[in-house]
Amino acid sequence: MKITRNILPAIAILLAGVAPLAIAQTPRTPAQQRRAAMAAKEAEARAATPYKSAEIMSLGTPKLVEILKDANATEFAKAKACQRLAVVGDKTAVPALATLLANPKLSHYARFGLEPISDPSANAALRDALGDLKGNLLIGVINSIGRRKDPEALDALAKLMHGDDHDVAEAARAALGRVRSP
Amino acid sequence: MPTNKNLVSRRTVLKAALKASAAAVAPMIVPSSALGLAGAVPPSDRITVAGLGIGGRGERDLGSFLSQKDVQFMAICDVRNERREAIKSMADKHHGNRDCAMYSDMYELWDRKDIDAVLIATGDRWHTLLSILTAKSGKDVYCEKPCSMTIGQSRALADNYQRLGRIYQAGTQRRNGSNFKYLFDMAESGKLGKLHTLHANVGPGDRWPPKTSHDWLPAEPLPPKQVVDWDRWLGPSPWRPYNSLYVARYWRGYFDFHGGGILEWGSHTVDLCQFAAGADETTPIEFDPHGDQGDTPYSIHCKYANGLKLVMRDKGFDGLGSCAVRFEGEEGWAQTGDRGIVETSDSLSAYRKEFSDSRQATTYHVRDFLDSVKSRKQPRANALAAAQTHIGCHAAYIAFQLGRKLKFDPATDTFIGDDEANNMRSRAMREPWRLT
Repeated sequence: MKITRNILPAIAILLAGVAPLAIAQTPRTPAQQRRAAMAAKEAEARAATPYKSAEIMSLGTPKLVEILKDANATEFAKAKACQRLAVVGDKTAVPALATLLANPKLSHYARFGLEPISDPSANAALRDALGDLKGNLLIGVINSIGRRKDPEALDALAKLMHGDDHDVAEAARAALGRVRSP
Repeated sequence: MPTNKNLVSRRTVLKAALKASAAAVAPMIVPSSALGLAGAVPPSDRITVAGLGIGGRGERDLGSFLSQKDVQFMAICDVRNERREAIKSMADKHHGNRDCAMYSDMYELWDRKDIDAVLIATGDRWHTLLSILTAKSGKDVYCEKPCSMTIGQSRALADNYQRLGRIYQAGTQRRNGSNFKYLFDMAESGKLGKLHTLHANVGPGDRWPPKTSHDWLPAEPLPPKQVVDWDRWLGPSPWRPYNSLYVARYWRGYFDFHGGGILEWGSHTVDLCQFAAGADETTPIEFDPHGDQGDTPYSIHCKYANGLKLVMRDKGFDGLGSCAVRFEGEEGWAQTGDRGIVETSDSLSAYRKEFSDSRQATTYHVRDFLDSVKSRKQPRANALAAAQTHIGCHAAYIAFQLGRKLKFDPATDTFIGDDEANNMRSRAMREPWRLT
């Protein structure tokens, strides 16, 4: 009994200290409960996702190029390889990136990788793709040429500006403006 | 006696004429609000506003807009049906009508010539592009922060607004918060002495990790386009499979959509430091990340060309509330945050103060924007100021990702002698989107 009496104040003190914290952390309103449930669902989804990128995002150019060339590599792996190449890529990555410019799912990722590569071969890869593409994929490549301000693309852009596809022509006009601007 | 029912008697004609004249006169009886009576603002002085992508934060902004008597909210555009309905309901209830139009395609909104200004509160991935395209449609913009995803986007924002002459206010409302303005005054009036170090509270790493993830969430079946237009939701960001969690506000923390803790709070607090430093047209020249590259604690030590230091850190602002700043000068220091309390060094104890209206910052900031729309003078968080703040935050974020000290040239927006860092200054946009 003596021990119990001595413990009770300690328990009371502990409860006084812990209870407000517990109350503060426990969602009380329906909105808070919904948010807490969603946050838990998100944490679960993050942990369970098959799309994990950490390993790819630490690779160097040679390994990344291997992923792009691998016929068995997933779309996700290739997408992330392109994004990693946007940081570390060099001219050795250009041919592998260029092959993806016509891929509807990965064309943007390929441009994501190509746009920052300073080597002139990236300009050539984008220019070469102009003749093979149509619609949005063509517009994307035109936009990237504009971003890179490739002076050797002036003639090709001028030709596209007078084509039948209005959206393509608008993209070519905008790219021409960028290439010609200082 | 005529029996033809098609013949009309004189009395019938007179009755019809009376009804017609009454109908013609009726519109002349206009509500007093339309005439600016009873404290209402006449239509000619009202600013017509629309919304683009209004979620939880945008709804709070909208509340501040609607609290202003000279605002008429006209339309909402959102790729989410549920949000379109919710915002229309909010606006119609406020105005006592059913006039708020709903769009899922922003081009329909931009086509409207009767809208003066647009509140943009989509996810960050859309902010710069929508701000520029909205300005091109002839409308002024109040845009939530962070205002850009890259250094390149930040510069495009400033350049386009300078060229187009539209009004832009970044949603960095603390620039107009009473307690923060009090700190600005202390700095500007010399009470702090010559400033030597500014501290900006960036996103606490246990809540807003400084590094974002390149992962994708598991794929879920795509909903009907009229419920969520996933392609339009993604906009200029890279394609990834649909997952409802992104749309339910869990897009933060992913590289493609978010700038991590540095951008999340730095867009506010670095912004306040930039303003205090009189650095709205420049950016620090040095970014040195500290910490073990984990989530917390972390800091980036920056330096301006004139030697002034800026420390972005996620910890050490206890008791001040969120988004705190601290200004240190030769005469002492002062600090404040969202709780509205201004703490000082003992040397400046006479200036300690507590503000009770710290939650009104957004309303003051919206008012500043509306006044600018009328006066055509730039507001406090204009496009150039926002761009420079964001360039500083992006540069810090790049330094943190690379884990090394970077030197930066604000005149050319380039890192000195670091190719990888320079590669990270911009990102290709998904087709067909482009910055112009």
